[in-house]
Amino acid sequence: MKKKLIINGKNIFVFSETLSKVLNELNIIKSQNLAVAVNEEVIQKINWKKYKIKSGDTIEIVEPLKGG
Amino acid sequence: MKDSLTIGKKKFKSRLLMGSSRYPNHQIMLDSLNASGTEVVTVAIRRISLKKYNENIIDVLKKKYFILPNTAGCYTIKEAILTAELAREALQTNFVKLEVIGNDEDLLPDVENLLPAAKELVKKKFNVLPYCNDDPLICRKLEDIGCSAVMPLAAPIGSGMGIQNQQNIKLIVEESNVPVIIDAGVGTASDVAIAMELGCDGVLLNTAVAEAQNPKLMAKAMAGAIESGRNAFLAGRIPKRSFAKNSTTNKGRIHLIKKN
Repeated sequence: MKKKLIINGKNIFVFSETLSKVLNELNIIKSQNLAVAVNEEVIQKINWKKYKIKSGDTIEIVEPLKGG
Repeated sequence: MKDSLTIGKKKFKSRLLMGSSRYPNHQIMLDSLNASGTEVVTVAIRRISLKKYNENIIDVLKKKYFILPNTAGCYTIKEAILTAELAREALQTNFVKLEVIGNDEDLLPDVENLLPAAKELVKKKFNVLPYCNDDPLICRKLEDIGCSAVMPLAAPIGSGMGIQNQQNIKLIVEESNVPVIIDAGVGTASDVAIAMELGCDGVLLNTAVAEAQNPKLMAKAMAGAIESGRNAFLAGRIPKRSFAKNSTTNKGRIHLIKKN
């Protein structure tokens, strides 16, 4: 069943069950610099594979960029 | 290490901290950072694009520099804390330049939110480097909370106006037991030299180099100013006097007798 998520402020529908699979489904390259929070809580990389995503989750996917 | 800058348990030879934004291109940024002699480079934490993969310069920077993530663009305590936690996960560092601003126009620190955000991050074992006002009382409070440094602004971010309140910076330096790093508002090398002459432990800057006509040369100038200013501070300047004082003795000078 499709889940409705809010990823980086956008409504996105996915089939995947886990956070790791959601990233795969969206073709996001899992670089070492990536960080993810689900419902305002950081999910460590080691837990991405087992972290279950549910409909309505709000996900932030960020990385470091140039800044002052 | 001789005369090093120590923040938390980390020691740095250079007292110049550099931002990585607004350079004309990546190569000019890398050349400028190299010319500046800096060891610390700040980065921001931003949402990735879900549409395309952007080339990321961070991997290149990580090889050579100590990366200091910031919480630029955060308006609330919650945003700043989550951004710091995401930065820690992304970069595996406990260091964070904490920015909590009031609005997008003046970009001034919102100290009402900065203090509780700093407190919470210290509790979460971060090395907090707060961007704050040039206010001795606020700097004292940030130190008492457990911040690893205080980073008062010289002038508003990107304004290039240099240190607007030297007396306050002097007071902050005199009262602080943690490093005082001037953050924001530097325009040119003399601003950096003044900061160091006042006894600041370091300077963090970005736009002054990135938007200079020749960023690499300006970076070199900033490195020179850090060194000159620091040496002048350590050497101890003469007091300012409101009257002249001859540098050559009068003893033995020729003295012609006036004839009518």
